[in-house]
Amino acid sequence: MRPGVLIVFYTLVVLLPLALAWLRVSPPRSLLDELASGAGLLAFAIILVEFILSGRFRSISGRIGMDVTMRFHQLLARTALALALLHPFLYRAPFAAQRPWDTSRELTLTDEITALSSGALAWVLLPTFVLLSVGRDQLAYRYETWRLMHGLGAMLIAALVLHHTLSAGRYSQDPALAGVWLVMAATALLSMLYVYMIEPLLKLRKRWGVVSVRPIALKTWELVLEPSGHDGLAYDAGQFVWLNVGHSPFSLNENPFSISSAPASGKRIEFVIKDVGDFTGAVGRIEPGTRAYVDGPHGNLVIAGRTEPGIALIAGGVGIAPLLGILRQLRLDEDSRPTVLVYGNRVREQIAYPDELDALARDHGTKIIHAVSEPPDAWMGHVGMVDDGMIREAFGSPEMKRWLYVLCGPPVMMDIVEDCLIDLGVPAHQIIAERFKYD
Amino acid sequence: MTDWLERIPTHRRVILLFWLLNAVLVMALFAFALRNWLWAA
Repeated sequence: MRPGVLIVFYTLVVLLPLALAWLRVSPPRSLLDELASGAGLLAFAIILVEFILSGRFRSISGRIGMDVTMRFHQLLARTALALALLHPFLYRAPFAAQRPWDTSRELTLTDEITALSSGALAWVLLPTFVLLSVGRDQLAYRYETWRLMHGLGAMLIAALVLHHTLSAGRYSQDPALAGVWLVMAATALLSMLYVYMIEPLLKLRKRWGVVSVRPIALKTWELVLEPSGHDGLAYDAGQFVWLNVGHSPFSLNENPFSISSAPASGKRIEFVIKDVGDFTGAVGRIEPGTRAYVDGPHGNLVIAGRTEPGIALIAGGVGIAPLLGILRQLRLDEDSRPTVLVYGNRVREQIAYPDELDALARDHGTKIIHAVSEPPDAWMGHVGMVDDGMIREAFGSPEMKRWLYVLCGPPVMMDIVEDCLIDLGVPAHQIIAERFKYD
Repeated sequence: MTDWLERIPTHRRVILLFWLLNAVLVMALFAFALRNWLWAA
């Protein structure tokens, strides 16, 4: 399915409850009462589709990119929140018992306490939930805690709103609309069951074992896994997986990491992991032989099938991991296209695999441009971050407009580089990117 | 893909699409709320 079709499909699904409410023949109410109902219908539809936009479904994230999927998930949560917050304040009809002659509830809103309290509780929980999600980096709770809170919180809010909608909603008394809500809620629930129950069950048959863990740069580790009794993972260079090391496949202790090995190098898969706390802080203590599980491959940082005449890889910090996979695959494929790697780090000691990069430059002709923002005294390379000036200097020649650009790094660097490349005349479809963070 | 769209970086395109989608949703919401008047017209 093409990205445009997915977006149209998304819009139609979100608008479906509103369309069914439209078709229901009911006596008219005031504009504000109708806006209140409509806002509620839209907010709930968006909330339910958010479960599918969680980034774990390759049929979606594989087509529009994990970055775009997650960004949409986050942005649309804000839309749902705004509509949900407005919903109760727009009503003008009074809360009262249903009058016998008012079968369509034209004149009153329900005054049943259970129907209202589920909505009120969801109304309080939703902004708390969105704020905790938006500010999760500032709040610095463990990633696993965050995932548990986010999953359980989302299901609780969806269940409360479903109860409120089916018991208090004027339009949702219609069997067709009630049926649509139940189908959408069941789909959301199934998506959670798939991610947290079915996928882990499938992973039980595809165990991996840790082969080695070794330091390769300052606070940066290489982790190598090999498949235990299966054929390994069919992936493209540049993709990532959700990695679980030393825990049950049902554990929430799994984190996304890019694969730094090349598919053509064999069944083993390698990762470059930077120590930034949580799981990554303990990676150096992982013993060989430890059991591991992977969920993937995910991500669209893939150059297989691309025919551009040159390839530019631009990495910031540990963003080198997927680009290493691509570089290694290009070397194994004996790809003769010109290749340039721009690699930014804070200090020289953070440069991963410096000897391998030197060998790539020497034997494969890959041009390597390092940028270090806190250089040692004898540093001869670029000083500073990967910035606009550096990109213009490296990729300013006219023939490079036709190259493929692959970006992975911190959001600020990515925004600067992407804007600069567009300004240099590189078409957007020749720039593929993956971010560490989505907010 | 049209040239002007190729001049918009992905991170800006997502924001643009988000606001376009919001505009569609708000228009649909008002169309819903005003449907009795719209039908009458």
